Amino acid sequence: MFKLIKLSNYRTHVETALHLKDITLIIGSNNSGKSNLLNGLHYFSTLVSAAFPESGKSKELRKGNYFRHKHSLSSSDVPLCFYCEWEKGHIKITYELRLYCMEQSSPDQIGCKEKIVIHRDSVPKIFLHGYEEASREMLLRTKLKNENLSPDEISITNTFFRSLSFLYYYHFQPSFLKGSASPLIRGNIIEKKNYSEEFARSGKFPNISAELGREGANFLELVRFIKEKDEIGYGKFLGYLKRFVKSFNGIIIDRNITKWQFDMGGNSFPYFESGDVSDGLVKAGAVALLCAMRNPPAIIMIEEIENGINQKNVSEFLSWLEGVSEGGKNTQFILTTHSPSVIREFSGRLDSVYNLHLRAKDYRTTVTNLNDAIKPLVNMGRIKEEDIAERDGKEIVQVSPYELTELFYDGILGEI
Amino acid sequence: MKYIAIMRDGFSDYCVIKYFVSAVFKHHYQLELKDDNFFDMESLNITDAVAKYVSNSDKKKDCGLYTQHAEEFKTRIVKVLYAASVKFKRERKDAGFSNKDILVMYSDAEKMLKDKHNYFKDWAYTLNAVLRLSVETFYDTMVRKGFNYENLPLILPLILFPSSEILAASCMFDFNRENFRELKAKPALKQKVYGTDNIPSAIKTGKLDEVLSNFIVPESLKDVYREIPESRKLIQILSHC
Repeated sequence: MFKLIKLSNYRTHVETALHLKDITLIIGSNNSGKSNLLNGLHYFSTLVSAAFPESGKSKELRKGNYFRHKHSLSSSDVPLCFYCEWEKGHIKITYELRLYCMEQSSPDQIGCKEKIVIHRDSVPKIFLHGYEEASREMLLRTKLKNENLSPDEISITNTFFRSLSFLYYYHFQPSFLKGSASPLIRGNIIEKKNYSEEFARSGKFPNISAELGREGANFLELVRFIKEKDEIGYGKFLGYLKRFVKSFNGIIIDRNITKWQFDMGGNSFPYFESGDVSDGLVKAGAVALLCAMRNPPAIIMIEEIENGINQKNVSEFLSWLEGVSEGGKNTQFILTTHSPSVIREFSGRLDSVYNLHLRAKDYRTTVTNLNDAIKPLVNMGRIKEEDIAERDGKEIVQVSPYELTELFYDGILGEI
Repeated sequence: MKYIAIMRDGFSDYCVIKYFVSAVFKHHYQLELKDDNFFDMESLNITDAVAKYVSNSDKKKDCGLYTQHAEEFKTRIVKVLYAASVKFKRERKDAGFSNKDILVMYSDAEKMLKDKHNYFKDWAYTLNAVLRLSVETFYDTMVRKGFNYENLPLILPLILFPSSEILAASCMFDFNRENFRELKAKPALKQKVYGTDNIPSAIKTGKLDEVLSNFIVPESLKDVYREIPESRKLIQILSHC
């Protein structure tokens, strides 16, 4: 489970640290840096993924790896950094990646420094790459193969790097989920895949998290796949959606088209093409698909989770995520929202909520934990002292949902 | 540098208060305040709290200073003021308020006075009184948190009946000829002042700025003082800053 992540000099995130929970909620006005944060985590995850020794991808860093992502007002001698703390059982791993411009006169040369620390016994094991000798390639993972690590340590570092590499970011769009819009790559529409046929050929399950796509463009194809090839996954998917819309009866494939069937009582089972069902239902379907996966990724990030979702269904939605997460052991979620109906669901766990602000003067995102920010309000009226509980040695302010909503509408929540 | 932070409902309210404060400073200190002197609190406002308090006072026919809804109102205002101090500090790169700064806490009352002397009736005046009590409670809270007067701004509540356009109108028209206090904020009063009740359009066309810059000027302060009793204390205090 990831405990702490930090970004430095990444776009507006000059210095951002988040303590992650099973579900971490990010709030903030438009242009405050929420998407930058998720993009940043996804970016470093893809870098680590490409650095797998077996990946076959180039591990060499290029100009764009640094200049396209650094803070727009920072000078080129400021490194771009990612840091995380991850725990499994009694073992803790910290990993740091720093990208920097090797020579100010020659900005094409981007170097990297990687550092991993395995905290298992009293003496932590530290492994470095790019410190003694400058390097333009991310080779720490390759170098670790030649280090004297115990089988346990090899296993745990493999699990850690796999977790960091499988971190997915979604911003579901109904038109993509319904198949009426497709992402373009170099101006070309990507051809839809038939995952069932691919599975029959290769015997390999598709990586649903990756295949789904940021906007959910392959959703219908993946739903069709689990219906045809993954009975357990489809059963879970169906179960989630039935909780969302009681009359939902399942997916049918009719003349190669995915249709949504409803049980209207008696002998009435109308079905509709995806374009004719509600935006909220297809979005719920995409989240249900993620929750129904056999092996969910370590971190799933979803932007604007509330879009198209009725307020009554928000808590249902969050209960799915909590169930899948299993306290963060199975997977962790990072969500962004603009909606008080989502924020109010976190009234008892404000330490999981972060508020982002963009300071106009230096174009810098500042981050505050809502629990810390709201504490000074404890003595100011209805949030009384006895409304503080203790969890993991930390004082957690307990606010009633309606108070949180009121703070939201008064503009207070957005400013603290 | 002196900062005048303004808490408001719509952007046009911000403009009215900005021109009004500028006129007082120009008149009394020959000081031209620039845009940099002003700090817009944007979405952080007391509008909903004021509307809820007014509605509860009407419903319960009780506009006492220590009723339950007045206590609730006071609590909300104190929280808003705290959030304002956090916002100001963050946006000014950790340099918080000083006692040289002013925070104008403005809201429309959305109620008509009908006659300017009704301002002194309990249903109108209590609103102002609870706000003043809230400010004092906020100061008290901050003192308990270790602040002293040097780190806190001068907080000046201002509620205009029914809306900020009444202040602009007092600079533009002769209130003896027409009772502007009987006009609803929208559409009548806005149309009189800006020629339209579509404020975004008035902002876009520059009409709003044109009206305010032409009429809310030092020479009009006497008219404002005479016709708008709710602005008098603000004028007195601002002219002794």
